[in-house]
Amino acid sequence: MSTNKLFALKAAISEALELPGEITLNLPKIIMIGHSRMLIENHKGVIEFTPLKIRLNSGIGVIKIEGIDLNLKNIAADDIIVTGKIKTVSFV
Amino acid sequence: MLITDIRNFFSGYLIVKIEGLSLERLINTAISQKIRLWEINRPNYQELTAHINIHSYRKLCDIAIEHNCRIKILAKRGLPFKTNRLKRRIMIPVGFLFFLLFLYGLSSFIWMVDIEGVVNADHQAILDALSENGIKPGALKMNLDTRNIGNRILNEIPDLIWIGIELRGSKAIVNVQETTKPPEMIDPLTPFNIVAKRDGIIEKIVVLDGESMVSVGDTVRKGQLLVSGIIQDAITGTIRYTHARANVLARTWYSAKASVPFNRFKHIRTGKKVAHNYLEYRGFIINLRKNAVDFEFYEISEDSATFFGENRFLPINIVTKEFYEIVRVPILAEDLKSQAKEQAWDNLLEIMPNNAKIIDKQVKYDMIEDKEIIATVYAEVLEDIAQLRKIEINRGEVFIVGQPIERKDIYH
Repeated sequence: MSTNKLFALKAAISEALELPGEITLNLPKIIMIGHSRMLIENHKGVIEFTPLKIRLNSGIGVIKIEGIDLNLKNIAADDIIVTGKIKTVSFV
Repeated sequence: MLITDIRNFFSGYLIVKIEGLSLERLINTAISQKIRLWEINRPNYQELTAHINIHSYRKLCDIAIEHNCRIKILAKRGLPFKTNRLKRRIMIPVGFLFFLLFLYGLSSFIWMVDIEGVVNADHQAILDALSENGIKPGALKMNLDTRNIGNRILNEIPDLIWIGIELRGSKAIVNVQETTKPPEMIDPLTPFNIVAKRDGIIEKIVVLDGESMVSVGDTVRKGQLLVSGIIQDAITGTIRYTHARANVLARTWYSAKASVPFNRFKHIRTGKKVAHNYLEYRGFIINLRKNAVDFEFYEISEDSATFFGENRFLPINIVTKEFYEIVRVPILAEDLKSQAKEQAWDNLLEIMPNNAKIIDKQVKYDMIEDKEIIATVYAEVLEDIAQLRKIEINRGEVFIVGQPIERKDIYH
């Protein structure tokens, strides 16, 4: 099977059984509290980190976060907590 | 989060500054090696500050070298650093530990013994008994069996019927209850007469033992023989002696007087008052509260209590003085008279015995102009005037101490 079809199959099964996507499909889980705190689980690395722009790699591509005074509150194995004044979150 | 802060404090962390070019890659490498970083800031393009665990610092250094970056320690925080500093001043924790041990050790002893409930018994004897059995200042609390000791003391001191020993902190509180003594046994053979305690007129006479010398309605004088302990058998003439016992109820009177000086004024409190509180030690005074007294006339009521308790530490008294404002009100003669009567009556009650029953009272006033009023109170009472007097027997002769025998003939 091609990766696309495999992916589609996995997605269908996960949907049907209501399994968490970040585990079965390796998707990043993004939790935002207000616009000043953001938790990203299951990322694949930091590409860029400045006080104005943070770019992370993930299972679905690059997540770009723009804002002011951004810093990484916490880094653990696969989690990142970003704090600061977040203006934009986009998926590139 | 609080719990992670506590954890970080206990294991210790550093604030490091990393300078270099490929800082993001350094972060990724750190993540992949499971190094935990927090509070990551990017002050400028070439610098990164972060907090890191002491334990992971080694690994971070190696990673930094790999990526051609420099690491500098900005701050060291956490318990391990404080412990290291304390290690140079080891006496601080050691001294603290010693203090705790000292406190615990001292409180394992008894330092004060308090006995409560002693009325007639010998205080010192109880203390000595307690001391012999192990309860005394300086004794170890641990081995004392209070129940056993209590029982032993009850055996040693017959006056006590109950004892409770409580070891409260470093004080031994001993509660005792004394026996009530049974009334003294009267030996029926010891010769006693009954004489009159006071002058009076006999109302009722009940003779339990002995021979009655007077009858109802007689006037008797103080000291007069009422019931004789010497009994002579009518037929054989032999004399025997007995302990006379009788209740002799007679009408007698008491009087007392009191005088009240002729005051023009009487003092009445208005209700306003001002308080002074102070501590006093042998004349040396520390004022606690001293409000201004701005009354024209006032009365002082003083109340003093020992601050620490009886015979403890220093004899410091805490004194409360209250100043009551008073107004002077002119007194009427009537008030003075009743005041004198009250006082006279109080005096009378003091001299009168408790078992007397009052059957009549009278008051007489004498007024000395401008000087004083004297009130005299008379009370007629019913009272038991029986009083025992021992008979001295000397060989063949009989002496009754102080009173010649007046005997009535047996047959009337």
